[in-house]
Amino acid sequence: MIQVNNVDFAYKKGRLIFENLTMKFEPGSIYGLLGKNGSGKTSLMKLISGLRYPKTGNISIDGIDSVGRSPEYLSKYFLIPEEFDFPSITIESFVKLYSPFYTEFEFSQFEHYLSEFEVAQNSIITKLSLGQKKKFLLAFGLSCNTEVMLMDEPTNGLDIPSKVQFRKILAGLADTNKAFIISTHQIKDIEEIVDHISIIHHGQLRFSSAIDGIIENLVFSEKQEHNESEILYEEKHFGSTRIVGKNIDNQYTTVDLELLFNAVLVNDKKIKEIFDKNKIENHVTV
Amino acid sequence: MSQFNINRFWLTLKKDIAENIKVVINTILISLLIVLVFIIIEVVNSPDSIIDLNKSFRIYYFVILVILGTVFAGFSFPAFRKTEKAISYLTLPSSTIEKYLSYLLLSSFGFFILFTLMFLLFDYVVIFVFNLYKPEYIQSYFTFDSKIFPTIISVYFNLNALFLLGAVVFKKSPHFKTSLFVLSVFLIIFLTLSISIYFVNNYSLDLGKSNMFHKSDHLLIPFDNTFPSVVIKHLLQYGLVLFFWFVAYLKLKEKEI
Amino acid sequence: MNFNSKKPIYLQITDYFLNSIISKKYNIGDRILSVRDLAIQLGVNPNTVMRAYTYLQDKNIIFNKRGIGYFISENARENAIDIKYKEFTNDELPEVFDTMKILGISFADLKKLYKKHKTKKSKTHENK
Repeated sequence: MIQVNNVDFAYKKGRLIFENLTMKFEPGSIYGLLGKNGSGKTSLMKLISGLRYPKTGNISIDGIDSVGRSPEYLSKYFLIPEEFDFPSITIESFVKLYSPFYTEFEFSQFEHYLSEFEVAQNSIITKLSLGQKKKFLLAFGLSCNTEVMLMDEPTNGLDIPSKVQFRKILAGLADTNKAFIISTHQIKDIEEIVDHISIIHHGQLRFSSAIDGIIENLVFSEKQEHNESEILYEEKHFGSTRIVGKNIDNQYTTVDLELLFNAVLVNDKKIKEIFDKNKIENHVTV
Repeated sequence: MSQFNINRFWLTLKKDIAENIKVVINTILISLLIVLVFIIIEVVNSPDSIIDLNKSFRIYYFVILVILGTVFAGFSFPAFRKTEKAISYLTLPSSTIEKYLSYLLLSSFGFFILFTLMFLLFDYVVIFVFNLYKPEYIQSYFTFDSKIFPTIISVYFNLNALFLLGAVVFKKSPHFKTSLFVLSVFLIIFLTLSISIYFVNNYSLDLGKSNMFHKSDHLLIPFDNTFPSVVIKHLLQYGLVLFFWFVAYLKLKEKEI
Repeated sequence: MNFNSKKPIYLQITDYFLNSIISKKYNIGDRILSVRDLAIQLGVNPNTVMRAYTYLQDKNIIFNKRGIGYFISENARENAIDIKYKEFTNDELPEVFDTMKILGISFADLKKLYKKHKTKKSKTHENK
């Protein structure tokens, strides 16, 4: 489990990026970490991977602190950064040199992913296109089978078939003892694969819930079907108005993440109230 | 898992060697080629009787060892030149001490041994060929000058450690920045000394007039072969090396990207 | 299956099974894909598939043989028809009635349209 405890963070001489941030990521879920550019998504990834240390507070994976980057800590996760660079060697030699650091690395798995992504194993990594490099990195990282996968904009640079392939691979890997964290602003790419949504805005965790919880508590639909009083947020599209409303009559609708995201930025307090209230009610009935 | 695991260290070392060995060997080969050109010019231009190739080889050995050693030390931790590479380097599951020792071994001792071996081989081939064609002016093979060799080693390691530290601290052009830093430190020391001498020495920089330096012409610490003075001498020669190495390790541990 | 409708993905998955059972694509005792395999095939979160399977289990459409997999239940077809019937009468039909009212379509008009639809369908059938 990843624990972010009361973290304050700022880059040198900069304004505070996070103030008293507390978050938890538990195994068994694929987390979608949403936020605008500059909201702090990448900073959070850097903090969790130990590339940056918090000013106050602490970050741990399974109780091991991030500060000091111990090999125990580093082998808990694999990071797919948004931007990356490789030594100019072939994929084969890269795997020979780097995979022994990851004790759970599976070569057959890697070969399988690589062929699904249609990347040739004997290519020199630096000569691949950006998309190909990304696919290679995803194939390698996912084959390391670490407890935590940190992915910063993993679908950037992927073509449409590869995006589908990526989701299928994740579906096959999702497992009760692994946590996947996907930071992205390409919401559509991950809508069907994530089962938990966390929204970060201005360095604060504005929203965090399992998809199931969102389905229970909120409805996403066209405006005419709902009373004004239950509408939490609305957005005009061609001719129609899409709304996020409170789910009062067990109407289960598909979660529109884009709409949810915008609703949270505008009205997160009201949304939080609904979730908190239902939690208490459910608790009473149980 | 401990902070130092010999297996993981070996993996780290293997990876670092694989990523750097080509450049190092090629650079050494190129410098040896340049030496060869110089040697040929020397042989062609001088009357055969006064050639002492061993002497020239010693100079070339010293100059190239120190220059290349310093340059390569400054190229240590190449991942830090580029943020993207630094990310994958720092997140690789081996400890800071393993990552650090790997580059320390490679750029200080590894380069020293590799270069010395290649140079000896080069010397052997050149002298062998020379002696074959000019048997009347037999040249001797390379030997270390036991008087200045310890000094060479000391200079090599001091510069090497300094630039290794620079490679950890500075992101862009570590060589230039390290040199600049050292020059400014020297300048500050020189100025402070000059100014203090100027005031202490009755407003004059002429040390000849000073009483302070009249009493003894020899060094402040007389070196002889007794145990304490040997220790002090070595501490002076290598104390800074240990200091730079230690600071480089700390900086690597604290590094944030 | 594609996920454009308003229903959450897990209900779209249950719909797929209900329709397949009604149209006899799946029969009693048939084994269906495991949670993981269906998740991979659809590229959706396994928890979503799990939720769909739990729903189908609750409605007696499928059952779980521990360690072997999920199978179509004995009364699956009846139960599936029941669920879809309720859905049609409770959700879809009222919408049709509302639209009819707005457009001024009478039941007589509806009957004509239905006949037209039937003949059209049998014609395309003959052509085949």
